[in-house]
This record gives sequence, structure tokens and C-alpha cells, in this order.
Amino acid sequence: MEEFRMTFPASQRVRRRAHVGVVSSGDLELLLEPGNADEAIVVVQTKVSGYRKIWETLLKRFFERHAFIVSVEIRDGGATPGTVWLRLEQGMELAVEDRADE
Amino acid sequence: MSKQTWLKNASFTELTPRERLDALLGGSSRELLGPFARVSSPWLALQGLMAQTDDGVIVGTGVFAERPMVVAAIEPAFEGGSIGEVGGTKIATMLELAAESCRDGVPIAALLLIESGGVRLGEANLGLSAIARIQRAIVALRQLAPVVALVAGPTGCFGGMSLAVELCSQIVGTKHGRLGMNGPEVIEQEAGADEIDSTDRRQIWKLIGCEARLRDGFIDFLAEDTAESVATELQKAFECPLRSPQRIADAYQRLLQLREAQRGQDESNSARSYAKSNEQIDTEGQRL
Amino acid sequence: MTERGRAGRWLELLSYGPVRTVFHTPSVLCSEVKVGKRTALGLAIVPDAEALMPRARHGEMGLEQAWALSAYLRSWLDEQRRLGLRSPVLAIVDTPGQAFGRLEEQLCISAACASAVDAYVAAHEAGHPLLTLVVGRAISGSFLAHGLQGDRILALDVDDVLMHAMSEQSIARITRRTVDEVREASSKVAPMSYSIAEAYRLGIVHKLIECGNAEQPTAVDVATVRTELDSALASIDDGYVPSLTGNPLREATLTVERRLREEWKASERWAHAG
Repeated sequence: MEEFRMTFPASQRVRRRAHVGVVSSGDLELLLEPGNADEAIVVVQTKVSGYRKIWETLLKRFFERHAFIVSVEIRDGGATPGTVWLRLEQGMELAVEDRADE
Repeated sequence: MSKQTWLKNASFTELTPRERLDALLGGSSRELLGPFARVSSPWLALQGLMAQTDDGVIVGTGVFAERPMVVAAIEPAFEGGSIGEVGGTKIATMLELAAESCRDGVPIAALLLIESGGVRLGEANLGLSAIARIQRAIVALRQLAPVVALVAGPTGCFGGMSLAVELCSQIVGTKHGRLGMNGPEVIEQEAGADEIDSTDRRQIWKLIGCEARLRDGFIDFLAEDTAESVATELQKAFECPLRSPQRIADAYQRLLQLREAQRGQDESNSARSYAKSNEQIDTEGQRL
Repeated sequence: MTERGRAGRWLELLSYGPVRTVFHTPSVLCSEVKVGKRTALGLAIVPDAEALMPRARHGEMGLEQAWALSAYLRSWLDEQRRLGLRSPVLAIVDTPGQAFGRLEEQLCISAACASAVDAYVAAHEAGHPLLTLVVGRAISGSFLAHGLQGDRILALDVDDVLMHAMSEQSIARITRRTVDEVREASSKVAPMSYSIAEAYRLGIVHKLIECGNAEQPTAVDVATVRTELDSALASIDDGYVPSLTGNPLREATLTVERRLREEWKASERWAHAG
């Protein structure tokens, strides 16, 4: 089991918190909350050791493209990079989308 | 097509537990102790397993068919929907709160969406203890308000949770659901492949699927695999008069029937062995 | 070991009347047991090599055992109600678990075991104190159906008295690990332990009882157990409810209860608004 924390510069705000995914083989659970300063903070807990560099690269690329000020917690059950990216996108979408009832 | 329309007619069993609750309760559902509360299992990390923020159990309140109720839904994708200390205590506490409310004069029913492998082996004794508590809470609430279980599938309901479900006022299933005490894989491991072939899905569903259970009186209603049909059958279930479930009453009658059936089997089994010993091959013979 | 197994032996030793079979079921025994000044119904599930169902001959909770137990307890409760009594019930436990079999599943052993649970909970709801004495193995669905509903669960503090959801061998087979690996996990994770002492530390078992010999109990052993049963009953009659507060191994349970109640209170308005 590994845990690591990373920060990335960010500038855009999100509207609300969001939760996606499931801790199961090949998937992950993601919790996202609006952040404070001009950064995105990501804490990853993963069952699969030795992939820190891959996480760093992926997350860096993600937040370069979607520079949201968020605090993200990921509980990884062994997701592929493609699934990680998808869950991040899903989370951000839920966090920023327009909602009529709000 | 609006989201609501799509949800009504899409396959119910392809929805996630939260989507199922949404489809049934509409906007009325409020999750309690959800993911952001981060109350998860203290036991999984010790075994190199990743804990989920809600321990695989979603609990909350909502209104269904104009009835206020507590709701619980188990996420089968997390550890097979197994019950551990946190998830089990969530369900039991909600049932206890509902019963307290009933006793205080505000009737609150319960809807349980069960997709579970039973006790979480990684939390063994605490899982058992929690299920015992859930069982007691179901029986206590059942006298005051309807406690309805939905076993929609495709995971189904096994182990100690199958006992809990049989204690409920009413049980609704779909043909994708199954209900049994020991899973087919476990029986095959313990008793051998002659006893049961866990890869033969058709045989498994014929044995313990919800259609078979309905036919034999071990569940009460069967819905089609749409939110609309599930909601219709749930509504019938909630409208039944409050009384102990007939399925588990008449124990003495069940005992007598079992003895009669077994003696019948023993006789036909001895007839078969007699025939076999006379070199007649019984191609219809099925091992029981 | 006598033919009646350890649970049967203890039932015999604790009874003051004859031990009888329930509805002609040799694997389900009952008797009267004096606890304190009261007469308790003693119940035990025991081995029967000639039992009706081939997969329920070693003390398992099978279809026959569960329906017979449920039927008998219900009829006893009816009689108690007629007599205006709330006598205690003592479940004596030594079981390898529930019966595994195709026929068991086909005929819905879940419903049979649920029926037994239902009868025990009905007894509790009607005010009968429920005592459980674990003298051997307390495994899985069998323990759920007979024993785990106890208001007080007592156990002999002996190496081969254990509680679990599944045998080590079965877990090893199903999770494709070695028995040694399963044992290692059990030693690190308190609720996975088979040891009854650990179940006590977790607050699942309420009292451990010193016992020289669980298999062939001495008069001292029996007297000790009687004393503990008397205490347990007195405690129930006093209205004392065991609490997990302060148990460092149960913080998660306490947190769930506390926080759910807080959120419930905060959202209580919904019931009236809906």
C-alpha cells in the first residue's frame, strides 16, 4: 500500500464537491472538494506499489489541462491510467456543471 | 428523453446502487454518513486492502409511495458487497432509528437493497456480530412498519444477509436475483463439483434464482428488470398488512414436509441403487 | 467425547431434568436448566450420524435442525405466554457451521435458519432473557441461528473454543491462499481471529469462563459455569445493557452510531416536510 500527496498550480474554481467511482479491481474511488489557495492538492492511496512516477506524470498533465482549485482524494483499487483520467474528468464535470436546482 | 423516463425503462440491474435509489426515490433521498464523512473500515489496510469511504453501504432517508422510510443499499462492486463492522453498523443503526421513531409516533418504514456475499471474511466476527444486530433490528422494526428487501441481482444475496432478508416483512426480486445461504462456489469447494457446478449459470438460477424462490414461497414478489416494474412491486409489498412473514412461520409444517420429501427420496434412491446394481443405467438420475 | 458431542454433554451436566430430543430430532436437544432461582430452557444442536440429511450429521445447523429448533422454541414461547412466564433460554453451542449442500440451498436453508433467528428474537422481545454458552466452535450461519442473539454470550476460555465465519481450510481454498497465510492474517486482524479471547476483547463475547477441561468437564468446571450463568442472568434482570463505550477495538462502531444519530437529528425535519 502506498500513499502520496502532490500539489499542482491551479486557477479555476469549482462549484461543489463530487464523488465518483468504486474501490474495486481496475477502478478507483475519487472524492473532490473545492480547494483554498491557488493549487490542486491530490492525495493518492493505492494498493499497487511502484507507480508513483506514472501517477505524477498523469496528474501533472491532467491539472495542466484542467487547472481546478480542488482537494482530491483517490482510493485506488488498481485502475489503469485511462480509468484514472476518466474518473478525474467525471469528478470535475460533476464539480463544475450548471445545475438548475441550485 | 428525460433522465427520469430513461431511468424508468432502462435495465434496473445495470444501475449502480445510488442510481437504483435515485430511480426509486426520485429527489427525496438524502444520504447519511456518505463518502465525505469518510467513516471506513479500520481493518482492511492491515490486510493490504483498500477501504472505501462508505464501506460499500449507502444509508439514508427518503420517501417512496408517500411513505417516509430509511433506506440502505449495498455496493456489490466493493468487496463483493460483504458486510463488515462499519457497513453492518450503518444498516443496523438506521433500522433502530426507524423503530425509535415509530415508537415516538412517527412511522418510518425501511427499504433494503441487498446485493451481498454475506459476512466480509476480512472482518469475520465483527461482520457476524453486525449481521446478528441487523437481524434483531429487522424483527423489531417489522412489528411497527414494513421492512421490505429488494434482491434485484445480478449479485444476489448470500450468507448471513440471506437470513436477514428472510426476516423482512416482504421480499421483492427480479429474475436476475438469487438468494441462498452458501454461494455455489463455496458449495462446490466444500462438497465437490458433483454436488453443484458453479459455472453452470442456468442451473444455479434454476436452483436459487428469484423465480424459483417465488415459486416455492421463499420470496413474495417478482418484478421485471425496469425501475417502473420494481417500483410497482415494491409498492405492493409496502401495502401488505403488517404481520410476521409466512415464509418462515409454520416451522413444524416445514419439518414434516422435509421428512416426507426426504423419505420419498431415500426410497427412490434405494430403488435406483437396486436398479444400478442390476446393471440398469438410470440416465435421468440426478445426485441430490 | 460422548455421542452427543460437547454441547450435548454440557447440556446433560447442567440439566436437572431429562434431556429430550425435540420433535423426534436426535440432533436437537432440550432440557430444563436451573439458572439463579429460575428454570431456563436449555437447547443444543448436536451430532447425529443417522440424521435425515447427509450433510448435517456432525452438529451442523441444517434444514431439519433449524425448522425443529424454530418450531420447538415457538411452541415453548406459546406455553410460556399461557403460563404468564418469562423464563430464560440457554443456547449451548458447539457447531462446525451450517450444512453445505445442493438440497439445502434448493429447499432454502436461509429461510429455515431465519426462522430460528426469528424465534429467538421473539423470545427476547417477549422479555425472556437469552443466554448463550459457547463450549466449542461457534461458526457462521449456525451461530447466527443459535447463539448470537444472546443478551449475554459466555464462552469457555479454552484453546479449542473458537468463533469465526468460516474454517481456515475453507477460507484458504476459496481465497486461494495457504492455511498459513490465512493464519497470519487472522493473527494481525482482531476480528479475523479464531480465538475466543479475541472475540471477548472485541466485545462480542461478554464473559470468558475458566475451565480446566471443556471436553470432560470436572465438577468444579460445571460449578464455575453455573455461577457465571447465574451472574449473567442477574445482570440481565437488573436491566444492565453491555456497552462498547471505551472499547478501543470498537471505535468504528461507536463512531457510526454517534455520527448517524447526529445527522438523523439534524435532518429530522424531513419526515414532516415530506
